[in-house]
Amino acid sequence: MLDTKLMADNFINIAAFLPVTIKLTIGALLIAFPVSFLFAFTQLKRIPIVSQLVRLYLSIIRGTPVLLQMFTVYALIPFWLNDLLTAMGKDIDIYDVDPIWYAYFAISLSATAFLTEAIRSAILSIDEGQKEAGYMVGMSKWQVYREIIIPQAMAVALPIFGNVIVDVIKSTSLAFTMSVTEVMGRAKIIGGMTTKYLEMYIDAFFVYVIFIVLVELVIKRVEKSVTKYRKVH
Amino acid sequence: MLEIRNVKKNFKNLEVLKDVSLVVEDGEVVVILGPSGSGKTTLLRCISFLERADEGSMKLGDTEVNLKRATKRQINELRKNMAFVFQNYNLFANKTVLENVMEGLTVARKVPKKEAEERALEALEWVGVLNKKDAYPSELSGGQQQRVGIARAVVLNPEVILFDEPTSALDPELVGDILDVIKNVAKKGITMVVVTHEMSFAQEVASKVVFMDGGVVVESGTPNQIFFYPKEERTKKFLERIIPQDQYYI
Repeated sequence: MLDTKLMADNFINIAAFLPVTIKLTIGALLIAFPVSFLFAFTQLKRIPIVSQLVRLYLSIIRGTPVLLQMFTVYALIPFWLNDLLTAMGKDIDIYDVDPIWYAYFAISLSATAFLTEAIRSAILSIDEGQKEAGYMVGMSKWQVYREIIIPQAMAVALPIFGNVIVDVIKSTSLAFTMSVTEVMGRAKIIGGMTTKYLEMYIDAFFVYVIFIVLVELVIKRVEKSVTKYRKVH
Repeated sequence: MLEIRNVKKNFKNLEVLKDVSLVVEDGEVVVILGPSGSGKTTLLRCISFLERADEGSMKLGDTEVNLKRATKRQINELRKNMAFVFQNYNLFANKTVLENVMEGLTVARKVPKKEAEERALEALEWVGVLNKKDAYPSELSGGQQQRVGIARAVVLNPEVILFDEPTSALDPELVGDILDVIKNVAKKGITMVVVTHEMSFAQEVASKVVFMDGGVVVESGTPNQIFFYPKEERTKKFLERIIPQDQYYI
């Protein structure tokens, strides 16, 4: 039988780690969004070498599990950084760095790949005539992108952004493998202490469901306001 | 004055413009006629740098440039002295009607917002869509969208407005209304180059008619000359097919 009392008692204990999950999500997205914009532009502009490298990155990231990406980042990056710092003669202990920084980076890898594709195709979907009209009222290329193309592309890409955000929230649960304790990690720890793993997992289950449903509501709201120009009469 | 000299443009192996020259005096309304594929639209697009000509030069006001080698800065400078009315309207989909008309003033010309809004409202009233100022383009009919397109061009007070088949995408019953709006633009004394298939409009409004075919100007002259005393065989053939006979022999 499920120990419902223990489950109820510990729900708050597990939900208390939601801020870490949120922090991981925001941190990863703060890296992923600007980088994917840059990446998308290298693809659209077909910048030689750089665009091929970005495409290679996209293939590698899409072709590997997030968990594997995390293990690799967590093992390789400190190792490289340590070598680099030693070579530079700096006496900094890289293994002292809060592992959450590696987690931000690792989670952002796959988000960046999906966002790059979303942004690239959204910008391509905007009619060429919009650009031409912008030039003909005297706007510069930069102004045309800022005022016309990017806002319209964002409206197109928003549903995909929503999916990526939800995916990122869920992949933060893997950060526990990098010794960052968030909702999933907390559930495991309490499960270990009480030996009631299933109860704790069910708690975590509800924490995620409630949180993600709320996030989706917010995304829907934003979507509505960003796409309000696309009313059909 | 708008002066275009020796414009040539190829698309791959297809010669679309073979040495076209055109002079448009201030206040003139030049209507370019011709069958599809004659290069009319390409000419307008070369003048506005939406297409890069392979050869040719252009003079607008005091600025003279080589159409092939003009720099970004020169192009931007020239574009600030012209406006373009598109066949498919191309209103900014993410902007309201009022914002569409203001954009060229506030963003490109740094006109203070208040002044820009006043001028935009005036232009919208003038084309008759002031009541739609807060609507988005997707909520407007084609006719209303083209009115906004014209307001967006006129509000910039350019030296020349280029019209690229402004009524071709409209429902037939709306064509007359939009032509009336364009006639009013002409009455303002704004220099205009109009590519159109509307013969009666050309007859009534043009100060000069240019007939193009196969990438060259076949002949040009006053509407009277072109419509009633065409010299070239190709012009005659074209007019015979397009203008109903009874009207042709009036």
